[in-house]
Amino acid sequence: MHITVNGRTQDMESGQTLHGLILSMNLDPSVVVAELNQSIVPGDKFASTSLYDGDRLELLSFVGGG
Amino acid sequence: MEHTDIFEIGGKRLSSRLFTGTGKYGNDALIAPVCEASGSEVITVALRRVDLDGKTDNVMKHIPSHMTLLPNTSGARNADEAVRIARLARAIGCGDWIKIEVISDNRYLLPDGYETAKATEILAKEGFVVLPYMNPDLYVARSLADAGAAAIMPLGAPIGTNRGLRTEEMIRILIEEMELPIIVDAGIGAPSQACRAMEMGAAACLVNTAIATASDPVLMGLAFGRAVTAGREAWLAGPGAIATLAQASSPLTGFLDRTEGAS
Repeated sequence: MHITVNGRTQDMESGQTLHGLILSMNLDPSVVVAELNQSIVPGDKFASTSLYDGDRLELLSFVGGG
Repeated sequence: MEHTDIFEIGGKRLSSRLFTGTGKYGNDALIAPVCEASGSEVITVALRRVDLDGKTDNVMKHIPSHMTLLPNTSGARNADEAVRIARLARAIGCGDWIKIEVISDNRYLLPDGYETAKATEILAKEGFVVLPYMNPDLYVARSLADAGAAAIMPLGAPIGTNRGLRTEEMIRILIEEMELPIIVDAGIGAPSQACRAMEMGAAACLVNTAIATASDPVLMGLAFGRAVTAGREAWLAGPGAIATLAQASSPLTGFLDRTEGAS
């Protein structure tokens, strides 16, 4: 299946959870915020959130800023 | 003095009136020592897409755990985008403070007062502690206060310019007319300018570029911390009157070799 992560289309196995995807990208789930199809997914729901074909996902984190 | 000069924002009591930022550091490892040297307890961050190629350093690991995090909504061009960024920032779980920054002018990065007020109203109702970045205009300040802002953050000069308190007169009016804390944000380039803002009665200053781009950011952080404290103490002390003509500080009588009584 295909999902779009931060504007980039990615091919991935179906049945993947959000938590699994974040780990597979070598990201620390505790410092990432996710917006799936325009809805915020709280960190404690990453593991129970499954991804589906066509999903649009935004993954964000804090960076330096003023 | 520290015992009686209480500074509270959003129910949080702060002992430092210097807010700092995390942008533009040549080396993010300097952020923690700058926090320590400056005494700052509030620090800004921005929210961005993670780098899918895994090249982004995690700024959070450089921020001491006692700091109050003040995420900004930089990148927002209207109220809706600012609200979206604020909600995402809160979802990370580092508190509910938010610095509203709504900018669609890319040359001078000047804030849009109308969109800022709209975002402030929505987010204050959602329980955020809202600190809006704004152009120092009294009517915008009043609309932000009505919208539920916890403090008002007028610019001294355009972001990142180090040009100082160019808007001094307008900021003076905000300090005089507004009950909310006035936190001078943007443009402050030197400790003397932060000190000046505090002497005028500003509640605090937010300084990022001037510290982060100094040759020695830790030493500059120390200098800013001291300048803000000095300016605050001067404000509390109540400066003496300004005169046009000289007012002798020493007695004008009893000089040597003068004849007394001839007036």
